[in-house]
Amino acid sequence: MTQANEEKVATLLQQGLESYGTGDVARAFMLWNEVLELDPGNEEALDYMRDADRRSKPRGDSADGVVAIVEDARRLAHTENEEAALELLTSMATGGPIEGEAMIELLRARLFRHYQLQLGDLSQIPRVSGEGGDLQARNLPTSAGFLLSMVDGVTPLVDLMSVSGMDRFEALRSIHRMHQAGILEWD
Amino acid sequence: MGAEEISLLGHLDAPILVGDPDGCIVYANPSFRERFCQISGDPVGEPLAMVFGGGAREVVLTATAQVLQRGQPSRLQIREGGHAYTGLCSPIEAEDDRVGVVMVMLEEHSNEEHLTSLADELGEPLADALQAMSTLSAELDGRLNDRQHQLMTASLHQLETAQKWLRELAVALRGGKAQQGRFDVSSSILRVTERISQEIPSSVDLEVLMPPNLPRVSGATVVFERLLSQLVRQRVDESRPEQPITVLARTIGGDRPTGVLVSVVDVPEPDRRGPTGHPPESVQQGVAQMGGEAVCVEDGSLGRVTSMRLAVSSA
Repeated sequence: MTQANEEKVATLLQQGLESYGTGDVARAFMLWNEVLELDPGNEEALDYMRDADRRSKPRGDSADGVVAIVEDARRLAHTENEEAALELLTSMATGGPIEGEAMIELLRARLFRHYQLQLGDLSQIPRVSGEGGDLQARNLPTSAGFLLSMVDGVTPLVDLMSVSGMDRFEALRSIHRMHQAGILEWD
Repeated sequence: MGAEEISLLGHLDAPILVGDPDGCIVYANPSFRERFCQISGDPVGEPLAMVFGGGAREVVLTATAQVLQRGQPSRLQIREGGHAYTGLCSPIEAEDDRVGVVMVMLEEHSNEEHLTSLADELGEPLADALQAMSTLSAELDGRLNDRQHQLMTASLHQLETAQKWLRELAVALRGGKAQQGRFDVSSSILRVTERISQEIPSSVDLEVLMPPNLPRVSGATVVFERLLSQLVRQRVDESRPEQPITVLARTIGGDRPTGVLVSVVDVPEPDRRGPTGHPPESVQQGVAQMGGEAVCVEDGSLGRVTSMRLAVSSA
């Protein structure tokens, strides 16, 4: 990661904390999600999200709380922050009302299309970018690391998704994030 | 000449089955074959477990094991092909050994099917009334005085209550609890989407997103596939051209899965869609009968999602 990106990540993390401190959970998730776009697997951002989840559990335990979270997620999605909206919803306590789970599916379907449009032809063959930096220092999520281990300069994206045995959404999301972060590239 | 034609059992209307001590079928009369083996074909030589499905399998195997063990007749009750049967399972003894079982099934005639169809008939107009009242309430929002607003709210509440009790009634008519049995929801989704892909124009993009392995869920394959087909077809009819339709499935409940969520995401065309996005009443009832629930969440700019939550089978 470049020096400029490192500084940006630090700023976003701090801004996220400030937003969370003022009660604007949706904005906090949006900012921390931007960190993950720059640095997939950033432990600090992931910790904040998990911690925000624990602290906001009382919201998630009541029907009103779930409605509030779903509304926050809607607001984020309307401002082109569907990734952050999905992170916010998936941070909800499990076993909540079905409406929250349904909203997650709506966002997953939309994001899948978005990834497809952004990545283009999935028959392209990815390779690990020389500018990706020290991959071990990046603390990539297990699923991303697993996908990365299969990048051999011969296997196209579509086959990577198939042989990974992952949900196609999760596989494409992981590939998209690594592409955005400059870890994966293709011609 | 078939065995059934030389046996008196072949001329009885009641389904009759003879099994050996290993639990395999050695004889089934024509009535049994007609009612229980329409798809699987000749049952002779097949294990009992292969002939009976769902909850009936366990009941029949348990009864057979008890009869062979104790040498005493045993009664059982099962459902097959929409019919209820009371069965009598008796041991066949030769000298001092038990050499098999004979099972006689008597169909129970009840008005359950009639009552169920009446409940279905009631469901649709009730759902229409609720939709109409909801639309009216939204259109008149802010223009009603307090008394009118109170009446409108009470009407909507009562209609929702009636709908809830109607679903309870439908479940009760089917035995007082959710349908028994379990099935592979992944295979069902693939079958339905493949079937529908062949029916619809190639311009309609039907995408499926689900992990390779999902836990088995409670309910019946046939019922679920009918409901999902009905829902996807309706969404295809209402969808905006060039907009994809996505079928998604995933496990919910975290580390201890409690259910599988099956969803259909679409973007409806305003001119073709119904007044609300609620799934058809028959879909809601069907999912409730399998012990699940169905909802629709809609957003003007994001689209519409209809989700069915199915309970993970504990069997």
